[in-house]
Amino acid sequence: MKLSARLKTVAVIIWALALAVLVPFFFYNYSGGWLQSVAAFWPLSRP
Amino acid sequence: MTVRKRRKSILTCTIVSVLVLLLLSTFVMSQQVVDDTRLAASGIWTLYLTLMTFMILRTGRTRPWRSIFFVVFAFSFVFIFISDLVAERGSMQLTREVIEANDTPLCPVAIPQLILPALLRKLLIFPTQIVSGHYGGFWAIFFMWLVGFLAMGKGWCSWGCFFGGIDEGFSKVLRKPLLNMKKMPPRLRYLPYAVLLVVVVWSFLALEPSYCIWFCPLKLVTEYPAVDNPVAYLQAIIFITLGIGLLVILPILTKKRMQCGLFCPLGALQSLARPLNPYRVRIDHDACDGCRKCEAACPTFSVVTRRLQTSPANSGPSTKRFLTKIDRSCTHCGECMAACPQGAIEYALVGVPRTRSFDLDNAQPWWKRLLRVPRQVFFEIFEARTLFVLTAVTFGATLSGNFVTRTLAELIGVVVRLIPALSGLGGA
Repeated sequence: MKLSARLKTVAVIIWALALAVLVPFFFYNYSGGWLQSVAAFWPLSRP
Repeated sequence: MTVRKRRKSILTCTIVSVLVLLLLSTFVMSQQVVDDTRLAASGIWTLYLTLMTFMILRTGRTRPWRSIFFVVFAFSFVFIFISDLVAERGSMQLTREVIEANDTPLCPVAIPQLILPALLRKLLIFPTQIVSGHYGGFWAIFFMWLVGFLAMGKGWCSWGCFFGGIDEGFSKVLRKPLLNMKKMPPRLRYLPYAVLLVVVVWSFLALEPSYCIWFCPLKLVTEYPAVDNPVAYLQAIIFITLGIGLLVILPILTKKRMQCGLFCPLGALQSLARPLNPYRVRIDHDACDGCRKCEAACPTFSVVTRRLQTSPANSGPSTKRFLTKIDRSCTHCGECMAACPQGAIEYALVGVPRTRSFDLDNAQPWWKRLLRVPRQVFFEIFEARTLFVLTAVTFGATLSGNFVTRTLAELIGVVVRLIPALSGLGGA
């Protein structure tokens, strides 16, 4: 198996794992809840 | 050259469609819909999406199922969005009070301008709620788009975008284009990247969402600021011209999605970020005969053809004269697959070669023949097309559900009110 093919396989696995975490969040009714913690992690203000 | 078959077995199509039906029914049930018309509308939309999944997998063509879904989605979104604005504010006008209250709905197309100020200066330069609010808020909309994009890639533009169905709808009005875009200068394909660069730099320097303020053609179908000074007048001329041109007139004349293919900065950002998603549309060059029908069918100028050098000795009628390539701007709509007479274009996953054949030899041992059906179904389910369609339908259904079912419920309500009135007229 060539290195580029292995890298692609690893990339697809990482992508699938990322989706496995993110998609349940997406379908969860997220008004408030975990979004608050994201916003606390990266606080934004107004210009 | 052989014509490739793209049909999947009825068993596979049924299994995947039933999975879609179960998923969507769960969503409908979790919405706690009490209104009868809304429940009927949800049922109709769920059944359509299930039928769409079955037909796309069975025929190997997304046409016309995806197109109908996408156009209904966009027009329902616009109808519900404007209805809500009018009910709340009395008009589509974006007033100074709404902006100052940071209560403007955030549209995913605005996201590219917001990323740099948010990353480098921790500033949100769009007048919307930061976490989640009346219209979603920045983080809610950003994650909605991010997860949708990670899951579908550029498929977002043909299965998940709220607005893509508008120019797609108008591009389906005529049977043949009045304005042939084959002679379009190839460099025009880079226009969305130029728009992206301009709005990102401008927005970062001026700390204002420049695309929304100066260019966005979609203001025509969402909300627009008051025209009460010369600058606002100029902005109105720009967005009305771009809106009518890119969303209505040019799509009708050319049968292309002009806003999506040549102007949208979110589409350009997604094209650049394509490596974040493994779904691709792939051409089998052994099967392709270079007829260029895919190029004509592509609504977003994403099929690029190059003339091959041919020597006089092998320039017979069967010789391939063009080499076809799918550009990174491809939105995975599937129009090229439907147009390809050779069946040479198919959804693919990065690093996964073309599907193997499942036609097992009858001379094989009995246990291998017995395992043939479950093996075929297993491999067909985990094929790129099935996985992509399943993802795209699920996300498309989630994003469109609220708007389409509300619109359908309104229509059902009108019909229900009309029937007694009409029967009363008939009786009289």
